[in-house]
Amino acid sequence: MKKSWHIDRRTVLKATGVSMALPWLEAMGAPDSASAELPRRMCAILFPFGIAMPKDDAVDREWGWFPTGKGKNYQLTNVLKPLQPLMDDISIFQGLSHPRCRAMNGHDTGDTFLTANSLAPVTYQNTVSLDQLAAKQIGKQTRLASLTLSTDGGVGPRTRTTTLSYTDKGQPIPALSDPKQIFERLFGEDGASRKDRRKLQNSESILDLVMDQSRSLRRNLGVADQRKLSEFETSVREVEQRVERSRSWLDVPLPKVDRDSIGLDATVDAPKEYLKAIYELQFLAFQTDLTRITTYQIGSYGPSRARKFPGVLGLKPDWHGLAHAAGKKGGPENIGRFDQFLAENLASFLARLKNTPEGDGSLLDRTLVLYGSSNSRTHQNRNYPLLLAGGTKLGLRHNQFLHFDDKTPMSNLFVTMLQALGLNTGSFVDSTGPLDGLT
Amino acid sequence: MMLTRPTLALFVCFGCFAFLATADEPARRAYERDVRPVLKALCYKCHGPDDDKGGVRFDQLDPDLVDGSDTETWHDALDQLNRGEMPPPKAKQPTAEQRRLLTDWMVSALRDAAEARRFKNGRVTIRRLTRYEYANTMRDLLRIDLDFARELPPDPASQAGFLNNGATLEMSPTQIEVYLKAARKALADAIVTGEQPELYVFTQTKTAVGKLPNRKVAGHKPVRPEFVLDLKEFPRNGEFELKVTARAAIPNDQGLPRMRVSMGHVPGIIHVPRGKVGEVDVSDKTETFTFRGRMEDFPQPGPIAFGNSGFKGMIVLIDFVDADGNELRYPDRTYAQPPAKPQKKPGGKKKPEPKNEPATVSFGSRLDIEVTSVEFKAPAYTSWPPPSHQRLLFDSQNSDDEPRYVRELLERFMTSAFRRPATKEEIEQTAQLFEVIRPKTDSFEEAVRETFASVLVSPHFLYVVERRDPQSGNHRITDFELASRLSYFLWSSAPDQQLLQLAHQGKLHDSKVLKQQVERMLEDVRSSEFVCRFIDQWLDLDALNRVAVNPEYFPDFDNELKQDMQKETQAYFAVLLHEDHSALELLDSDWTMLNLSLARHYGLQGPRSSRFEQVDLKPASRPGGLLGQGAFLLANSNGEDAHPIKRAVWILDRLLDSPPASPPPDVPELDAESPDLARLTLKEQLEVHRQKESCANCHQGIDPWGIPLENFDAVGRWRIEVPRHKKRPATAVDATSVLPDGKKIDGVDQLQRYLVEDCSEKFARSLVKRLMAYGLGRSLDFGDRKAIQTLTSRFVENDFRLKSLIIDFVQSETFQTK
Repeated sequence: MKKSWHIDRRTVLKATGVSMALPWLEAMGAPDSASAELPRRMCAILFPFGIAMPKDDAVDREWGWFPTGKGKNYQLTNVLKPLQPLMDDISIFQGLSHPRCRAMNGHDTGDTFLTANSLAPVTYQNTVSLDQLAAKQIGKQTRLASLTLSTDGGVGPRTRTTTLSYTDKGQPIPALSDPKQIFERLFGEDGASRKDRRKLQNSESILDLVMDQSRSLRRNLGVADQRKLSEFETSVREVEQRVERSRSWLDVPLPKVDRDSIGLDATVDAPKEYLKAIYELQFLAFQTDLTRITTYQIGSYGPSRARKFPGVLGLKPDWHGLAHAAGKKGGPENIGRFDQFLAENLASFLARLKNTPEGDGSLLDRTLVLYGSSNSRTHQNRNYPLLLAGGTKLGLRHNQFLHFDDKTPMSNLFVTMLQALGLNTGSFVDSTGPLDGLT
Repeated sequence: MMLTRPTLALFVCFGCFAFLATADEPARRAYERDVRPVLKALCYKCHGPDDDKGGVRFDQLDPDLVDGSDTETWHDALDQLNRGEMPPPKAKQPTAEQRRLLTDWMVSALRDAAEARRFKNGRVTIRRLTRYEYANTMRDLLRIDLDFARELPPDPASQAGFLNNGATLEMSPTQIEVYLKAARKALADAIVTGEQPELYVFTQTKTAVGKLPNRKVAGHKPVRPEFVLDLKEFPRNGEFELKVTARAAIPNDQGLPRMRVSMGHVPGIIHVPRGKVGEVDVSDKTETFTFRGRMEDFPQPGPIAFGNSGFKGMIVLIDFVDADGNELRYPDRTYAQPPAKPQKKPGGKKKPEPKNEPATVSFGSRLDIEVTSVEFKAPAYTSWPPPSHQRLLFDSQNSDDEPRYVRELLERFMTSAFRRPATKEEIEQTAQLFEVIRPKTDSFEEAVRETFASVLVSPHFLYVVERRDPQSGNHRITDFELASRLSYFLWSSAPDQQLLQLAHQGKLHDSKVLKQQVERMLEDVRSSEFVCRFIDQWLDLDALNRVAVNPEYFPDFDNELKQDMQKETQAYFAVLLHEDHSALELLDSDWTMLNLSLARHYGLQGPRSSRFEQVDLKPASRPGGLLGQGAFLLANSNGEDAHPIKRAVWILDRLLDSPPASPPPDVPELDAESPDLARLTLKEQLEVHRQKESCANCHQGIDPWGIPLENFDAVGRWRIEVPRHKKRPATAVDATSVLPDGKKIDGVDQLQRYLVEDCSEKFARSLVKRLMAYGLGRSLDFGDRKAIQTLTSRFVENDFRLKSLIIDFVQSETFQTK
């Protein structure tokens, strides 16, 4: 007897602590699209400060981030060892970076990890990020177009932002950081009741009114203030669209997720539990198809709360200090152990996606997970440690360690990702084409 | 504003010649004729066609400061020239004539540019409320004590470290959604319908008894509370009030014991209470302590009866701890457990009510607390409808005429929400929203809630707005705008009735009235917002939360101490402000503010409770002032050892306003091979570091400021020896260093003396600048120079008194103009 994938999915949901109220099947896709195509998803993750790069003959080479060898003949070091069982779904890259960002300050490139552009002078204006570009198309099909997360939350200061996502105008999108907050955003509001319906209608009238107020206020302001207030108007307009979208979801009940199955109380004071919760929430968002695009910045290059993660875990303290000392005697192991911890967390997330069936494969087969840092050695904006997981059903080949020279922009990887996501895109910022060797 | 250090201004405007066409012709000719040749002779060698040290090329800098994009780089160039940092000592020095020519040109060009910019674009003066300002404003407006900002993302800090900078504060769709949601939630609470909800009152004089797990359950340690209040019935939301009557027995003058009250459940593990309701010191006098909170803030048991613990509903747990935070546990007590089988514990006779009748030891002979009564009341309304309702939906003779009534309501509500009189037009527009909504809603109240929600997402509420008045050329703000500037400066919240009243009468800008108001506002409890917010942001006390103390090095360190350290610095500043001390006591003094745990941590004596009190440091010979305070010392360590670079950068940035430049790209690493760094102390490692030429440039100016503090370990305790660690032997602390100007410094005392004697004006200027940036909610620019100078001189003349500085600042033109 062959079951349809829908049913499989439900069984799995039950097993993973998610109990779903009918009609769940409709909730799989947007109510207005009857397309049978399975979702394509993307998650991008950045960690700051770079990694250890001991020479190949060094005694502590095992604590370097990059594997040894090349192509199909590569060996993971201790650091990425936790990913070993998943390597059929992973490619690792050496040599990629954003050429336009190489001359930027060593700590400024978190801002541009997904935008590939150097920041504009003085204003530090950014441009649209990979995830938001994808969300413009893919996001239409889900309740939330995208989900932006970071350990520090908010947008943070320019050049040290605490978010990876930027709108098409280059404005940073505030990240959520508290698991409870994220849960609320995902599963908190069900638009089904009559009262909610009325509220949505009211919301539209309320937003109209404040928009009018803003417009007439604008006439009484100086130029700089007018520009500031236009942020307000853009945001209100965007919320209007979201409200509009919520209305089309009114008849589709929100998936019910058992909040106790996620460690929502986890705080940054317990990195292990915290990362677990953040990954779990992204997993649930994908599984329930609330969104298909997420970003997560594990730490910012600025005064990040994540700096203390290694210390809390009982490793050598201060992430930034570890990265600085990565070249010192014993340094590779000190930072390597922490990078290994991060890889373990990533591995659990990937395994979770891998173990969740979808269609004739798994969630991971149709989810691209980009993971890496925008520093190699700390303060060095080239040769980013990077890997891409998932997407074998989107046409990607894996289980390889690809080397590139520094003429190949990382944007080529972005082009490949966008194409795998089904976007009809030939270029991204400084790309010269898709990335060789992935498809 | 954004980062504008010279090293960051890497980007040269290739289109600058296009701009030149628009610049004033004679000015450009003067630049080409007089200024460029001097720059060429003095600066081009390093900052010209052949080299672009620090990313600056004078041959490509746009000399048009009004329209060009290099204005801030010129500004920095002027600063460096004035400070004698550029040209560097080894390079060719300008003659007096050349120096004057350059300075004159830059100063006048910058002044023109600043003036022009201000008139042309204006600064960003409109500013979104910060997270905490929003929370305070909502609370004061609706009189509901709820954290409305909980779901808002954190705000970014400006370059000077402030969260309230209008240019950096942005708006996003997520925020709009949260504002609207919070507004609805708040108004549902503030405006009520129907009968008063059932009041739950519950009193116990003896602890409830039930079974509690005595081993770890799902990772949660067992709890052994002294007193359990078992609430069979309780509301699921609204405010509750918990009154606990207790007294303590404190033999031998020990520190006051504390009572910790918590409530709620960890989901699935019913015995473990979660949210802390409060913690108080208990003295030997019987007292009733009142705790308040919101039911929804505490996790509640599900509808199903849980387990067989014997506790039926919500539980409130009370624990006793000694002043160090250790639980007071006595073997002869059985706590809130069912009576134990008699054979256990020799010597302890068991009774069913162990808490109040200890079997063997009578109350008074050992450190102990006795709870005599606990009363729980919820929802805790003082009246029905609650005061918030009565204020928002006040009685009126028109209350039967909905359209008229709602306009009356709106006028009052919008005027307090907008912090100025609402215009007729605004009221009418909003009333029309009500009319759209009303037919679709069941009750008048519900329609009012929705209408009021629009006011709470209006730009007039969410932003501090200062309108441009094209008529008046002087950019003076109105009295209402002044009221908001004042109240957000000193209270981080909306102006109160009195300020608005004075604004309404047009009296507020009167300098006598202003002075009185500032004094009144500083005396008001709300001024603690100023103390805490300003100090936290100026001194970056949040950095405490970014350091993990390594328990391997400091096994006794309790993370609660971090909060105590933050409070020490806040309380210290509060005393300086309220008792009108000299602000130089931030640099050096012989006292500080401590509670028992922090005093213990520093190895000092005096305080007996968690309350902070003034402690004389003379006998202990521990240095006073910020440099001796844990908040600074720990926040600028790495959790294992002192970190002279971090400490130095903090001093340079926060106290002396000369932050070192950001690290450049491609910073080389130290060689692992030679010498063996692991054997060296940090100070020695830094010396190795400085030997590298690429590091020396910056670090010669940084490290010497941090080394004199080596007598403080990572957690701020005094030490004379750096303890042994792995390969590195124990070494005596070496706190000697030579400051960049050649001054020899041995230890923190000498550093403090140096700061007070040689840097007091620099410090004063630094404090003035930070205070101005905070008070104005924007970055300072060239146009503020005169004001900075004037205020600094006045501040120095007034013996560095903070209160008079604040008054001078508020009375200054800068504070009262856009």
